[in-house]
Amino acid sequence: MKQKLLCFFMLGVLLIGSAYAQDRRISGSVTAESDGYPLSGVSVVVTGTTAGTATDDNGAYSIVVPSGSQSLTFSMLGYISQTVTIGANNTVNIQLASDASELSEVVVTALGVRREKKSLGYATQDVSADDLTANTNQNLINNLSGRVAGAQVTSASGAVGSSSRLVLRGNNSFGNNQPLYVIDGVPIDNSASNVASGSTSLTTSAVDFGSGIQDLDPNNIASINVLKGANAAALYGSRAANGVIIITTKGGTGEQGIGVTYSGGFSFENPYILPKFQNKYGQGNLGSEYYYKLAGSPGTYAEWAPLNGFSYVDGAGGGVKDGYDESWGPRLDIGLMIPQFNSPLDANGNRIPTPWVSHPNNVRDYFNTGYTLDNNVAFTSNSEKGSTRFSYTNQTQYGTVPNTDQKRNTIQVSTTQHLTSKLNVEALMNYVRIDNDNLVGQGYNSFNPMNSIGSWFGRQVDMADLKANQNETFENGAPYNWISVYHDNPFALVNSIFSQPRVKDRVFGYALGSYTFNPWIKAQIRVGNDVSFENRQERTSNRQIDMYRSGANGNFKQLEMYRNELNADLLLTGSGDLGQDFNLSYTAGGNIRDNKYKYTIVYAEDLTVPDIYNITNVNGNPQATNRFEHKQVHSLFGQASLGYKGWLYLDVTGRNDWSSSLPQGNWSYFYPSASLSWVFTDALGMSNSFLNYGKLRGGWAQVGNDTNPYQTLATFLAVNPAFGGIPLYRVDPQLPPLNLLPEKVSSTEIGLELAAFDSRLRLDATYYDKITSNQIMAVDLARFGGASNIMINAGEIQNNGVEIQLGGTPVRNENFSWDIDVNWALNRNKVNELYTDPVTGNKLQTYPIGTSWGVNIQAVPGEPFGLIRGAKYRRNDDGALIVNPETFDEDGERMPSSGLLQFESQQVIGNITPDWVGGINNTFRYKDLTLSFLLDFRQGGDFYSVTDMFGAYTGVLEYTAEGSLRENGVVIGRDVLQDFDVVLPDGTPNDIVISAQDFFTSTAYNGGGTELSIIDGSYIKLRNINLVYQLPNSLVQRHSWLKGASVSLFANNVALLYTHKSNRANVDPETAFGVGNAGLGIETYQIPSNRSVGLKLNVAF
Amino acid sequence: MLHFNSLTIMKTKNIKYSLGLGLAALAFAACTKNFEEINTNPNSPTDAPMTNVLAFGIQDYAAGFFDVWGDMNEPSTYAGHLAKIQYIDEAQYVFRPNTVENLWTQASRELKNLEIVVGRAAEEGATNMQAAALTVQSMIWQTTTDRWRDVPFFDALKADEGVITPEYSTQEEIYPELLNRLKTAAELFNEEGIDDLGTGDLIYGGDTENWKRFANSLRLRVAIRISDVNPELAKQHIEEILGDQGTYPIIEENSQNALLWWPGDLPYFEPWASDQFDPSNARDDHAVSNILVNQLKSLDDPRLAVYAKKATADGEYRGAAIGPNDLVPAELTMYSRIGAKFRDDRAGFTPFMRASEVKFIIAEAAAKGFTTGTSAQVAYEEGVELSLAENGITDADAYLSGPAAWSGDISDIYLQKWIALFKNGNEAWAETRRTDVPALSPATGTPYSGHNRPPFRYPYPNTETNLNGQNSAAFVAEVEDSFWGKQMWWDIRTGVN
Repeated sequence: MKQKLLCFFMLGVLLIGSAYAQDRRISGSVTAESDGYPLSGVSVVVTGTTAGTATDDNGAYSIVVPSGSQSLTFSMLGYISQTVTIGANNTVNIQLASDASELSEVVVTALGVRREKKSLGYATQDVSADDLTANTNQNLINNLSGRVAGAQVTSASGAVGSSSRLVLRGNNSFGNNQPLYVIDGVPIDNSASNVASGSTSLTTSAVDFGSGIQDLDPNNIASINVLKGANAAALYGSRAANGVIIITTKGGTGEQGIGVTYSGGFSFENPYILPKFQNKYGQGNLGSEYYYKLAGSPGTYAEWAPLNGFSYVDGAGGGVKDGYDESWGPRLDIGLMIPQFNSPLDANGNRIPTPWVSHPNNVRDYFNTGYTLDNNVAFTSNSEKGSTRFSYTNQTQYGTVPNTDQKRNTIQVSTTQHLTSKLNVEALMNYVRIDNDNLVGQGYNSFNPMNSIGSWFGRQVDMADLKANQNETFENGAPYNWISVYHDNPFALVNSIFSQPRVKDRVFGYALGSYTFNPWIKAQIRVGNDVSFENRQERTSNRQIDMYRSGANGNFKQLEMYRNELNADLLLTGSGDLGQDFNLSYTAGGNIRDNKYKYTIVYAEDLTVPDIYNITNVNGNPQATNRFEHKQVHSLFGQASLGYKGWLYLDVTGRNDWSSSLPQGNWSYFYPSASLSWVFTDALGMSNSFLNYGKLRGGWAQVGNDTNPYQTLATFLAVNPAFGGIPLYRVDPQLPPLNLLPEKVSSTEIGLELAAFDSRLRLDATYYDKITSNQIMAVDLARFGGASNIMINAGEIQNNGVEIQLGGTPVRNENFSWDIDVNWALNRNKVNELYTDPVTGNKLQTYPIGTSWGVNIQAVPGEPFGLIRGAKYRRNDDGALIVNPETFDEDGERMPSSGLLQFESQQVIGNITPDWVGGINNTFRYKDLTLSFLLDFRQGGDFYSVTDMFGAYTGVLEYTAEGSLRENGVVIGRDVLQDFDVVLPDGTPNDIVISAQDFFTSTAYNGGGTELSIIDGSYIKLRNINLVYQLPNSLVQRHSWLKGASVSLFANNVALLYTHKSNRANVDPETAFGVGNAGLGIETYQIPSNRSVGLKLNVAF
Repeated sequence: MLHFNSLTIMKTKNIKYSLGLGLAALAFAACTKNFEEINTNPNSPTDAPMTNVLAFGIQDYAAGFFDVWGDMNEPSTYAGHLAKIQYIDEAQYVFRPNTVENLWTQASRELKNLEIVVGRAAEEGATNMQAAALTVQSMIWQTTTDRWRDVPFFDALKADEGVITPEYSTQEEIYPELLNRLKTAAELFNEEGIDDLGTGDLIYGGDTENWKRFANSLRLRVAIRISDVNPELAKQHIEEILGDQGTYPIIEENSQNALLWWPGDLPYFEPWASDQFDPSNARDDHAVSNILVNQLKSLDDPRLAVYAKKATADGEYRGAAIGPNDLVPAELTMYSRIGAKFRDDRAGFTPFMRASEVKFIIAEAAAKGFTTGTSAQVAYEEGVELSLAENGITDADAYLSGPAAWSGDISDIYLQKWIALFKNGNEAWAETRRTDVPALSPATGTPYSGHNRPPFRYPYPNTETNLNGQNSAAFVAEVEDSFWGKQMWWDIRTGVN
């Protein structure tokens, strides 16, 4: 490796060749012609080159101009570009006239190359830093929701540190669907080893540790540009098949001298979407009035209920139904007196009955008000020779789940130094430390508090009592809780029983040297590295209920993880005119990427001394596992853009990768792209005040992709640990591929950009069609082939769709303006084919994406990605549901199956793919006050809710106790499932009365229970509201020490305005489980999402 | 003029730079030379010692088919030995799809790993290893077909040859081949190979003589199962073995029992104990059934105190009903839990085959008129003695002169075999389906109406429908209400459903 790098650098040096000549530094300021107000973000480029900078908040810039260059070009969206010849003076101040056309916007494209937007033949979309930094949201992905057409963001949960999944233009792949994240030209790691996959093996927990991109501090971001399609991303190669998120960090550019900025934010968080629970019946089984009447109404209900429905003795089955973690017990709030877990004891140690009453807010009462503190201070220094920025951020977050937190400290230093007028060096170093004292468990897991209080729960339980006594024990030694089997006291669970501390240190950055020979050739060497060390622990104390019951002393696991991605590239860029009409710009270069990943896990399944979480304290044998992975990809790439008269541009790119993870014969793969941009308003001279700007674009691209290392050969896996000292080896259940080829994404897109009415109406529309083929995926096999899955190269997924960004400025005058931006995207997705074995011709019928409680999420040829299959109500030819007839046993007792629904297994019951997604952002400016709010919405996209399914099974959800269901029983079709015709097998209408409990328990789970809990994921959310007050310029100018200030008041996740009626349980329709595909379409006890309300202050000195 | 200049610059200098780039490209191409090394897996070997793979096959089978999910909840409960007292869904035949998936997957992976051992050992001429792997694999095949009846068999375990949707074979086809394979195993052992089974022989610690006994005893088990549907074939194999004990020795003593003893350290607790003591399980969901307790009481059977504990509430032996609509009485302390020997020993055993079972097979064969070299009564009494001895009861005379005395009825053999098979739910369930002794009723709390016997078979897993639909569809269609439908080939009961 070292040798290779060396040879690479030597070549670079060779290319740089002889350096000479005088450069000079030009600085100045840019103001608006109309009102003299400083313009920030104006692109300043040495004419004919790509060397450039941008003006700061005060309109100031400073740029090194190579000798020989004679002019600077100033451009900005909404203003007419100006090219100014440089005279003898080193200061150039100019005024820009406003222009409604979109001709001159400059965007950051692949590999950090800035280009005029009009020359691009593909769709990109900018998100400004203001949208990202006006609040204290710690995960920048969440701030992208609704702002980018074609981006679907789903945040996993309201738990601290949880990941969010961002998908551009639909799910392409059976593997990874996440875009590539690039910071200042250097790709950074966004992997997530979390949730479903747990922390690799040796694990029982499911904690969402977030994905890599969340480590980035939003305070350091200057702008984000989203490259949605393969065309835009072709230069990044393999990993860009799902699009690229290009992040530009803040630098020290600006007014000469020293600057200081401070920003501080504070926000409160509270859960805002909780399931709707019933408050009519408490814990127990068969305890409702219906059963009392069925028993012949012996005595009074008040006498009957404690004897039959629920009566507490030890919470473990020693009393009446007191080991039931369900709420099918006696009626609440009618004056019943029942012994309960918190009832006082009499002289004999028996519990004295206490009032059986509801606690309607017991789930809500579990949650804290969380808060987030966000403080950032940045120092900038700027001189003729260069600029430097130092930034320090401290962020502290306390979760709404008690005792969960995250502390993040970020130091970022970036510098650009102009050693000579031609030789430029840059460096960026970002150090992040993330510290969690505890994170909450998620998924179907007893370490997730929602598993208990969200469904396996007694609705009568008093949360305040559990909180007050969380460290107590009962007289029999059991930990104090509402039940003494299966579950822990939810407060003790997070405070003292289960903890998952984590410390992560991450350093990423780059060093860059560039030399400009002439406008045609600028050579650049950049080495970027991203390294992280992480220590995760999972500790379970001996007070955990299973530990307590089995006499174990707790357990302990520690994971040490290391990741490193090194990127070294050499880039040549240049541009210039070719004759009168033609202009050429190009990029060419090479890249070496080197990925290393290793981890070590040690695990003590039981401890000798409780609460000592060290592997030497293991009771029995410690278990351990470790792994090392290494991969290299070498690439050569080039791009050229030929412009004609400033209104026609042809772009071509090519890239060749060599990946070590592929079999030897297939190491190398090449992929090209081409696109065309035609500014027809200029070409046809039709620009006028009605139509200012019109551009048609189109492109075609192919992107290849490789796979993980070590997939090409079958190995034997050791089962951990050894069996009494004897190692157990088994063959890897995954068959190796026959001849692995690289994956291929082919994409075409066409787009239209229009601006009209002085750019007060703006449209950017794209149609795309992309096909992912030769997918490298592990597919499940019918098990009796002797393998669980096989690595194959097959499958074809097609996505096509439309993205529309529509912007309008209905009102714009000196004091008041109103902007409205609408993003809307529709994606149609189809799995064209899976796999045919080349030897036997056997065809694969299904690719499983995920599974949960009898529901399977699948890819099936001819169907959209993410078909949901599960048990469906059996229907007759007329579409009516069929129930079992009434039958009796030998003793004349009615068979329990009477009147219950029939099911058919593994039928299609939904699809996870939404019909369309979008967002509407409104911004109102009145003088120095700006109010904006964002609505985002999704139409369609089903999911399977485990909260709903078990919530119905356990009788905790509101709809299981509606009306008098539990008093009078139900007739299916009349009292429940009223939307269906329900008949007996002979076709006559169903009239069999059954208990509500029998209906819900047999329909929600016992019967396979899946159709009931398929929820249409459509929603409308008021995502956020921001009110920003910018200190007036007049005020600022009075104080020489003050350069600017603003304060913003914000609310995130304000309200769920609409959810589909199938969402009777009222779970958050936006649900995800990590960033991978495994959790798609399945909601499992999601930690409730939070509403956040806060204040943020920004001051510049 | 300016344009002209730029063009000139480009032309002259670019030749040099293009050359540079060309060199760079060459450097890249050369740099792939370490790729093979980079992509060599440092974490796991491409080959592993066969003894360790054999160990995996044995351990995985014991862990999967003799634990709470693979045995206690369903087979041992359907056989009338155990009763679930909390979360009694399985006892009411409401199953968890994942359980079925897991068992299906486990069976297939054990079979595949053992197939690899058989193949490799054959190549290397390691006849003992080949025979041992073949023996264990045949045992697992029988368990598999006894659960699902028809499964991929001749077409199975060939995904690495491209057979990713294997065709099904019927139980009628599978059973005779299992007899052939077990005979092959015996012959391989008789070659007196010198290869050592190594540390991975978790059953006999390398004693090939005992392995030979185990292989032959298993052949008796397979043969007796089909003695009603193909008596000629059963007779042929049973008489071959019993007629030549020198060539085909069998398990005769408890010391020769095929057991897997567990280390007793986490995570390797004996599976029934693990259900209770592994902190990740910590369950108390099972009692002994009222059928078993009442049967043992009626026989004055001394094994009652070994099989069951007294109910903590009142010191009585009281079994629980299997899958009732609602448990009466509700108090869990009223039920007898499983005896400590079977439930509470972390370092306990998993029984694959025991001497008593072999004796009962001989007794049945004798009663059916096969030449066994002994009488039904002698074999029956020896079987009872072996079972009692195994449970620490040395004096069998009183018992055998009480209600359990040989009456000459073959159902005595079936009943005693059923009692002796405790903790081997696979066999106990198969035998109750075959013999209908003791007669068992279905759970009253089941949502499936209209049945008069506990389940006949397992449902096929969803993956089989999803991934091998065209082959499995006809067989899946033969299953009714998940657990009934077409009976086992060897289940000749009539009027049952």
